Amino acid sequence: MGEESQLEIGKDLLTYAQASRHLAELHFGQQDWSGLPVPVVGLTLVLEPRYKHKALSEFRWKECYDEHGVRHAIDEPPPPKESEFKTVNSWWNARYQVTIVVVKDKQGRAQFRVLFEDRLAFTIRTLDAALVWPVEAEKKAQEKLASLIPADAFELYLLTGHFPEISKRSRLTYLFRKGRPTIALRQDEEVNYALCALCLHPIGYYGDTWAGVMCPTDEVIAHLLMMRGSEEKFWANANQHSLDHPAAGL
Amino acid sequence: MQNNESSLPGIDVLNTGYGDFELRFDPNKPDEVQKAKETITDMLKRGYAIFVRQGEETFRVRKFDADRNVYIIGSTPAEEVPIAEARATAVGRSAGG
Repeated sequence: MGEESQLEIGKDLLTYAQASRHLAELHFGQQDWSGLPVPVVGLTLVLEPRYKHKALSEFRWKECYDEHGVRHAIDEPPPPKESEFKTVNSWWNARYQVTIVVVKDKQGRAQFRVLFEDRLAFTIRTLDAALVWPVEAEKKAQEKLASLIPADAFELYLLTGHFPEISKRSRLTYLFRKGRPTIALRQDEEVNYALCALCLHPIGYYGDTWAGVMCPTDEVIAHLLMMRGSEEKFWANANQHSLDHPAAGL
Repeated sequence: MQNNESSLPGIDVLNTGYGDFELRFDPNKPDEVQKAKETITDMLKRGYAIFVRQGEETFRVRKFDADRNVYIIGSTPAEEVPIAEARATAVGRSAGG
């Protein structure tokens, strides 16, 4: 009790979202213009390889406190066992809705594995990651988005979580979505079909979720500006997911 | 540089803790202009994508001319945007997804 009772909730003990805000404030003077990503227990933090604080992806929380200020230890996950197999290829099989992985053993003999992607697990992990987004940050990002798109598109975004915009350059239609990858479509008088889902997160994201380290509307702004100002780079930098893959978020 | 002086030029940075962090500078104050130049130079060096609006179009900044205080968005003199006239938006490097 002694030491723990002195810890003050909101000051010494912070939620993920409070920690995110706090770290952003602390590090702004050190040219960390985008703030700092916050690792989440049970999720893999994937960071841009040249990012200054790349080591954060290896960070593991050792303890947490509940709402009463009581400490709980967090068990460290066991280190991954060295596999005798090496992955040589993998692809999404739309017909069976599975990922096929080809592996080779040390003798060079090939085998294959089947991975089942669980959409519900994707959704639940995304909810876990959402704890790092300060609500104030999301509100601020929405104000910014409102200044970038027509009022009717922003209303649509508030009501449904997505809005479309046609590229002046390629004439492709992009469906920007809150907390999900952007859908690229070809729509004109003759054809109407979806191309793929474009997934791009500034700085980093949480593996096997749709969540980036920034709040969802910040990511929509990033997609929108890249589409408008550097469409080819948007396509080059984004992961292109097949629309029936769980990562596409449809 | 200041925060939240909405009528001034500057850069909005997409930020994990703030959503959108507004850096503003007064073009009439040399120390603030100098700080803005250093910030823009540092951001571009770190791989940030900076976007500026000119009319109805959005452009990605290719380079920054610190001697003339202009964003360079193309290859002709017409494709320059003075930092004192722009409210840019900066986005950190992409980690894919």
